[in-house]
Amino acid sequence: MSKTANSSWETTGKPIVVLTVISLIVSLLLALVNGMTAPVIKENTRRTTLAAYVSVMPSVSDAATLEEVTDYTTANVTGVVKAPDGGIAIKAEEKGFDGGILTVIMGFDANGAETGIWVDASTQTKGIGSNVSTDDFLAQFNGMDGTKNIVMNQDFDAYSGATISSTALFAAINDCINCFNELA
Amino acid sequence: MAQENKSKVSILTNGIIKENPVLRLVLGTCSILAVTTAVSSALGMGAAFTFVLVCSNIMISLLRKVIPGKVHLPCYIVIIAGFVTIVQMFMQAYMESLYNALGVFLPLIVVNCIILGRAEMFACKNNVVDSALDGVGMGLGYTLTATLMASIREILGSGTWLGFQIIPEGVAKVSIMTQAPGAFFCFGLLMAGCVWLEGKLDARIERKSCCDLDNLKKEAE
Repeated sequence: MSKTANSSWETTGKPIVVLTVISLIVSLLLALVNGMTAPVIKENTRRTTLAAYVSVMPSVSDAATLEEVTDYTTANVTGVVKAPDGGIAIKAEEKGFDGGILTVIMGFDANGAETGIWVDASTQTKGIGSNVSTDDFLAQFNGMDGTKNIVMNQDFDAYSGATISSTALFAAINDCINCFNELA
Repeated sequence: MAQENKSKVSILTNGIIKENPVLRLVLGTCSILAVTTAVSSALGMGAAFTFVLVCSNIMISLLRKVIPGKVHLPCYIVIIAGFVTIVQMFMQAYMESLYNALGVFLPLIVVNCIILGRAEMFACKNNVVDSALDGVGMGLGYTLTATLMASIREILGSGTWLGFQIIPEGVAKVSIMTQAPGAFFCFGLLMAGCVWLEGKLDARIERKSCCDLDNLKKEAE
């Protein structure tokens, strides 16, 4: 630098101003992009959740027929929808391994029998905790009585080697069951 | 910086073999090892990576006279992180499956050594056009390497290529190729292959390059 400018400006003022201006411009740009993409992302998430609701309710083929239910108080339940035939799908979230949120959506028919379980274990360790969302493992819950709470390793098996994720799964299922009993 | 003798074409092709960022400079291996289980995610990662690299190279080259030496690293990181976050938002909005497949490795582009490395070694000393070409070349090198490695791993490990069945269902698969040890194995072989290829081409390509350590030392002296 062969500039003859004031040295305290070159060593102290300029770095602060340049970094601040760059940060401000980048933040502004990010705010603009976020404004553009946030609604699309929200819509995507809603579509995924609706598709998951439909997947646990064999009697429902169109997500548009589902009716949202909001008058529940059960903790950790984050969403409930009702089908025209009386079936209910309940979404519950529990903290799994290392604080990662494990999401479970459980479908019930009008009599309280389980019609399907959808599990998002993508926040759990790949190949270990994530195994609790495999179809083979979830098959054990097929048609279970959805009105009685379940105990891990007594009523149903935990996924061996993935105790923390399994505990979260069982807790979330019990949340769904409690919520179903509350609404029934 | 006496680099006028470098032609535009050589800047562009530098990143593909001679200075391949992954196989010759051995940078950014973390993401390469992780995303190359499937060709589709390797291509997606390569595209995202190239976009960020070209944009940040152009931006840093434009600002190279403005950014004071004292805060050059924070400035680069803010610029790079900005571009990465933009890519991330767009990908989450319009390419959700790819976004889910890349997972944490998409935001981790921010700390990818190749991008910061090119900013430090190239963009901060060269003009905008050269820096953009360098970004494209390095991005191509990264993408080609990722795609090649993903092809080997996906065909051998899963029997598919870009999702199409290549090896019939009945044939046993080398499932270790889809896991970490297979990635390292494949990486080593590709590195050896690249060195061999470079030796073959060496007679025709001039040896000087901006990240050649010997040359850097000579310039410093």
